[in-house]
Amino acid sequence: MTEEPTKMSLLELAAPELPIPLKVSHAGRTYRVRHFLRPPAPADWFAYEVALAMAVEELPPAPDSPGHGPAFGEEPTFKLHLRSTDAALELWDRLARRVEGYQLPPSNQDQPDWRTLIPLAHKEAAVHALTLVAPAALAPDSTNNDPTNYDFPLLADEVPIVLEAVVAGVAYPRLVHSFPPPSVEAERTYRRLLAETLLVRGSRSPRTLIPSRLPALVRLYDRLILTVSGYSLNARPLTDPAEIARVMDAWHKRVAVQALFGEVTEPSPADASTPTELPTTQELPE
Amino acid sequence: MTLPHSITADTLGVERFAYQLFCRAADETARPRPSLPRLEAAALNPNRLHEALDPPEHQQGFPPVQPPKESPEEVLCTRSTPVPLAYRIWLTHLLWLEDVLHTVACRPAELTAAELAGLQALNRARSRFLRAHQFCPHCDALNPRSSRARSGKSLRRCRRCHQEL
Repeated sequence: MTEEPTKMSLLELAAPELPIPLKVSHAGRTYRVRHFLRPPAPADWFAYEVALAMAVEELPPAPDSPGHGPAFGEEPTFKLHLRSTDAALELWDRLARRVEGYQLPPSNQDQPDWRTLIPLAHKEAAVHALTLVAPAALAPDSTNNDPTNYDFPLLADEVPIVLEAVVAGVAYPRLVHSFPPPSVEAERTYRRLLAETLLVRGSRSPRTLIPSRLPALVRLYDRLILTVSGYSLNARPLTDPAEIARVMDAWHKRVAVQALFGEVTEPSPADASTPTELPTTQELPE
Repeated sequence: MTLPHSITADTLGVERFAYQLFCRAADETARPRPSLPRLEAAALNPNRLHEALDPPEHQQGFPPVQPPKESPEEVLCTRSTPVPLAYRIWLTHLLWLEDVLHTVACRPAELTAAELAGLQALNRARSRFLRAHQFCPHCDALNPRSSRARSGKSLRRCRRCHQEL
């Protein structure tokens, strides 16, 4: 379960470590453990994205297609390949500082390499908890009761992108990133970034490799960001764009830029539509 | 398995697949209707589906729909290998870029070499497509230019409205 944030609680970007609470069901019992992770630096996220090795495989046509395959009116089928477990384990190894709630047998108390003893699924769940950030669903406001029918803002000076996230077990429903309206040049940069892929012609079906895009998305964010709200740095709000660019979490930057340009063309590992909708595995962030 | 290669540098591939996409986008009529069992499986109300289909077809028990007869040019368009996703993504970007360049001034330095080569490949594919096809003057349907029509041995008729081209 995620804790409801106190009124106007801010997401602290200079936290020394992030306590990730996990609720683990094992052999009929429920355990509550905590992983204490170092806040990920941009280089950690860059390595994580590279390790994901995102690829899309085009599956051969279905056998019941009328002899012509996908070229004759059949929609091709795609299969996404992500090395999410490997990437998560690699990131956990980089970030983990200590854990709580685990017990060693009395004869083996001075186990130096405790990291290797943590179950892989726990590590993966802890890293998954770091990626729980997504564009917030529009909520009805005082002037409009239908969140699906807003008037498009013309001549707006700023475009606010509202994200929601769960960090260290606490839900932050309103993290606002404000950008100027995107210029054609910025959009071209973004589209060019999405368009560059690699192709591997396999023996059965071609595979499209999606190269790492996070560094370029971060650069684009740093160039465009005006203000943020909902975040704090050493308990004070962030105001300077240069400071925002320096301290903002790279994964939040990525989600904000993708929401700004409106087309998320690749599935994100952070597939939580809301922070409290967590995957129903045995090991879940609390 | 081959080594990964960047499709942005493969201008021949870009031209080939752009041509295929033009053909397929313009030639929707050449696509066969899905077979009746598949339509019925997907239908919420099969009875309404039967009513919506052509009565003669209904009375004849829905024979399997065959693709229309094709010219060699059409066969080249539609029966070649499907366009790989990587090329679709790159062509989508090129088409967007081409559209933007028609309305917004752009300095040459703002285009990458790959984009410039891609736009040129796109233009070549479009020229080839327009050379190989003609639009019906009566209904604007796409019709392939066949060699027989060019030699004047037979009159060509539009595949959709059946009027003389």
